[in-house]
Amino acid sequence: MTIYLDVAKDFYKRPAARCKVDGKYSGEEFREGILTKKIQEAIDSNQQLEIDFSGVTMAGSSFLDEAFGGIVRSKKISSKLLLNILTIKTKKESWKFEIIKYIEDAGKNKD
Amino acid sequence: MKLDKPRDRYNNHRRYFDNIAYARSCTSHKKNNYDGSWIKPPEYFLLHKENIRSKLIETLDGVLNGNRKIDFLNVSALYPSGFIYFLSYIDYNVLSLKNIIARQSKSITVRQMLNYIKEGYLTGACTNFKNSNNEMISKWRFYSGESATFPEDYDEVEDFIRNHTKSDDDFLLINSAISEAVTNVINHAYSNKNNNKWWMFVGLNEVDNRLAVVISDQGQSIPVTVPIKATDRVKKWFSFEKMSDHDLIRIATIASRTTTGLSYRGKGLKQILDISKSIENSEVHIYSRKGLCCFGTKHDEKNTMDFKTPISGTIISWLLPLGGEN
Repeated sequence: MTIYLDVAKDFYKRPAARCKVDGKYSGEEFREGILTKKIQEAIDSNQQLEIDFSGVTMAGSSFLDEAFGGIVRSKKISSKLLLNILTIKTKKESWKFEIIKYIEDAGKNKD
Repeated sequence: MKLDKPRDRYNNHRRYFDNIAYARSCTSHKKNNYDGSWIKPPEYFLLHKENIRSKLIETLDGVLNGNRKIDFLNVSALYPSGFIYFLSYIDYNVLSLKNIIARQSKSITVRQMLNYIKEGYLTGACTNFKNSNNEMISKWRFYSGESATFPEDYDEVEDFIRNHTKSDDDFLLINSAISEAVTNVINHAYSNKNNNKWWMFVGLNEVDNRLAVVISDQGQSIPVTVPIKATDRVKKWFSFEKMSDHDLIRIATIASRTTTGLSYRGKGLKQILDISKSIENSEVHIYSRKGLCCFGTKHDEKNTMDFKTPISGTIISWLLPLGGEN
């Protein structure tokens, strides 16, 4: 069973920047506004979380790092658990690798 | 003159009235007693030739020192890097283009460009050159802001890139790098985070299937921030005060830390430059303080240099052949 998060429909098609002060659709806003809740929902119900970037037209490293690395750095979830429950759907394969790297790096730095 | 086709009659009609407007602009100074107090900018607005660059910077210094009257009469070409520097400098330091009194240029193209920019500032709307009947102008779009959120009319730029690139991957790569370049300005260019303004020209060239993106800030400049970013160990290896500005720009492109000193930040410039390596015949030019550094698949060493006159902030200019079907 899977919980879905469509970034373009549930958040914005052009997410950008790291912090809330930098823009309306930042990585911080995405993480605190939607991502954390969806992850918690997935954990509580023992389901996978599929995050769909298909409709997103830009996702810079600042946004991805703050959203996904940030959730591990904020100690809301361990990198290992997050990587276990997460599936990324995207036309841009390198975003998948980037997200995994940011999660792993955040996990190492936290330790 | 034979005027058989409606288009010929239209063009002739337009040339007649443009000449009237030009003639009026030549005589307006007599009516308004402006003789002797106009700043005369260089004929070309560009930054890559020393003497012209110096004259452009001198023009802006004059405006900053209080002279708001600029004589564009003999300005014949607005190169994107020079023009965006002019606009960003005035916008940032003089507070508004509305404060500038301008004498019209002889060049119809220059005149129209300046009028479109002025109209955008006066109405508060985004400047939209696409309504121009001038091919040189209609391919350009101008955006500015203090946040990383792009306006809705940026959809047009995305459609152009998507329709002219070979794959979704290329489209997303380029579009994300543009976003990241703007985010870089907001996060790293300014020491005072209360004023993080960026300015951007985007050129959508249907004929050549090329994208041009020029982004400017009025922040600290890369040569100022590189010594700040460096770790103590690196500082022992280099004498930054003896290095040229173009070498400092080059160091910044391979450095992974930012002014925050945190290891997970500072990816923006590298992401931008990766594009110039992955797309054939693309070029990235970075102007910051006195330095100019050029990157690309056809890297031109002779265009990497220091100038005598510094600019404020940084300008990143990309030329990207898109490679897809028209």
